[in-house]
Amino acid sequence: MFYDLNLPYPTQPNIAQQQTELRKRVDLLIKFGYQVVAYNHTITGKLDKANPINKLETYNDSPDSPSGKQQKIEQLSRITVVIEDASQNYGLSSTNNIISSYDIVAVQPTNEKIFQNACGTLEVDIITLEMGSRLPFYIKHGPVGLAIERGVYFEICYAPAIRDSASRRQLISNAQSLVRVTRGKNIIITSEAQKAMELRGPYDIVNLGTIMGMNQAMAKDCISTNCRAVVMHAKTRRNTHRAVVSFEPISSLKPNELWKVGDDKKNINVGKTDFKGKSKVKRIRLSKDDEEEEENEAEISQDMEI
Amino acid sequence: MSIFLSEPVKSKLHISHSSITLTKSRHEQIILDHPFNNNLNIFFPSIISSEKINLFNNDFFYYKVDLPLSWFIERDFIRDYVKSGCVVALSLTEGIDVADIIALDSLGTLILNLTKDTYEELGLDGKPAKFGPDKQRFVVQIDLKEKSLIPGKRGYERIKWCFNNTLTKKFTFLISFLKSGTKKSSEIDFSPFNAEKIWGNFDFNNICDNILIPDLNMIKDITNEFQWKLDAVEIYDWIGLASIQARRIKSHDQVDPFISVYKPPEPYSPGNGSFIKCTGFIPSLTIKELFDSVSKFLQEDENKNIPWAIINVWGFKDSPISWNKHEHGYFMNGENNYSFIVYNDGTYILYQALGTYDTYS
Repeated sequence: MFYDLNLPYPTQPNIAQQQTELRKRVDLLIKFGYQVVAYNHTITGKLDKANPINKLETYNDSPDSPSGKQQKIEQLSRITVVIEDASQNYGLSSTNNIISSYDIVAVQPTNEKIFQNACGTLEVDIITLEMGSRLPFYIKHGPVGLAIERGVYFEICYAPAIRDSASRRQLISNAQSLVRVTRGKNIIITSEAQKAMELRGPYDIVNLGTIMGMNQAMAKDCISTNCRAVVMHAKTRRNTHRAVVSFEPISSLKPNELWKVGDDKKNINVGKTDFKGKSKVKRIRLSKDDEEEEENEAEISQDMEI
Repeated sequence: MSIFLSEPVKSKLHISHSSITLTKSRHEQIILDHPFNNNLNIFFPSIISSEKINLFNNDFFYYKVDLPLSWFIERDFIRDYVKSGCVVALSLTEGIDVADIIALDSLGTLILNLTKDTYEELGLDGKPAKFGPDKQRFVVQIDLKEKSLIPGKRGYERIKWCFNNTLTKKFTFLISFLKSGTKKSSEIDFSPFNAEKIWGNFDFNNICDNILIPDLNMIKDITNEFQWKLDAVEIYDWIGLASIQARRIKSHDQVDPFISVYKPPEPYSPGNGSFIKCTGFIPSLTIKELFDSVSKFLQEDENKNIPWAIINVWGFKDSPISWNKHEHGYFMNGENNYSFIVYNDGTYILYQALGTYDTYS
């Protein structure tokens, strides 16, 4: 599956023109063969507004229908918090209702101290840097290694490089230094396209990745496998208790999935299920890498409780 | 910059030289072992009269149908079709690098090339795919001709349960069936599902006039192997240009050298050519029959004024196997194509082009 985890969501979505522009971009992503898109809402300063992102309706076709070239794409919501002051409490934890209403959480640190903080402790999925302009600090091995260990991913947005040539130069050099420091691990490539013109197909992005110092196979991972890991990381952060178990009511299961609750409970009338008592425990499968990061997260949540 | 990163392996082109008169000749094997053929064209270096060209008419049809996987393991299907002929099926999905692909090859093996998410929910034993990121795709193979695959046995019941409970999604399949007796496309009963029957249509009226045709007799015999390789690769370039009917091989083409400096391999001479084209889900047996009729046509031609013909076949880029069950994937491209140059004395040259992700060879 190909992912584009950064499509800026219009700030005033009520205006018809912006809505059609968004639809155009999503249509183009579908045409290029992307299967997941995340609408991005960027916030500077305090988190006080509720999630403004409304998913477009027509794309929510049932995933069970046989896939031809149908119009369907999975839609996620994402928040990017620009952090300027390390001392301020941004409330970036899953207990915060506003944060947990988004599927993916990203931070954009603006100085080195916050960058170290973001890599080491902040409970986020993506660290994004404004690569279209000169970075105010060097990206160093230490904090980056810590972020990779925790399963936090770094983002490269390619649209600024398409918009103008000065930021293209900056972006290529910044991306190359990021690839050097991370050794090509834990990077995702996203669009951040404000117009449909600025989007590119997955295989073109792979070629772009080779300019940034990756080989083709790694660049392909940056828009597929790594993005999947980000989405999984976000899911475990939001929906699980200490990254081990998650709870879902039996009524959320489809009829053909009822075998999952076992034979003795098959007779329960789904409509009348008591939500308090009978909820299903769903095991989240973890690969080895995931497990490490989950342990880290579990520790963090423990600390917070203390 | 990217010194610490190794480059992935490149695409491959295999060239072989043989003759259909030899007993060890592999041409039939090569054609029959390649199950998923999307596109076919045959090139003659002269214009063939319409009554002669109809010799190559070889009708076939296939179906496009939405099926659940449990349909494939029903006893009736295995008995009536898999064991009494050659059924080939391939699912039409987004691509083998992004989605699940299901295929049934000519030997009766059901191949499920699955994403990690689907595989983990499925509950059948498989192997990690050879290509792509580590452990992100898995391959499950089920041999439908195996004797133990009967209702009541544990293995069969497990597969049936999985197809009824975990992987219940319907896939859009292309299916063709050739009965072992007649070797012609035959009907399949899909009830209760609605199938669309599609006839493969041949297009005989493709004439390119005034093109530059190289002298293919220069690679007919190998005198100097190194030089022969170079020549053969150059000819392959020309075959590619001819098959898309590019303007660069027209004799009056005058293109700005900034755009292209292509010249056909020397010696060449101006002439006319004709094409037979066909697109669809082409059964391998149909291609084999066409190959036989082309070589017969060349040998029986009275004046021997058609010295050779070219047969190009393009496989489906997203097929999970290329030749002979060798695993196939899609990296930047998913080529699995082959071309024959057949001479009128039975000698042939075979080109096999494969993308990066392929275990054949």
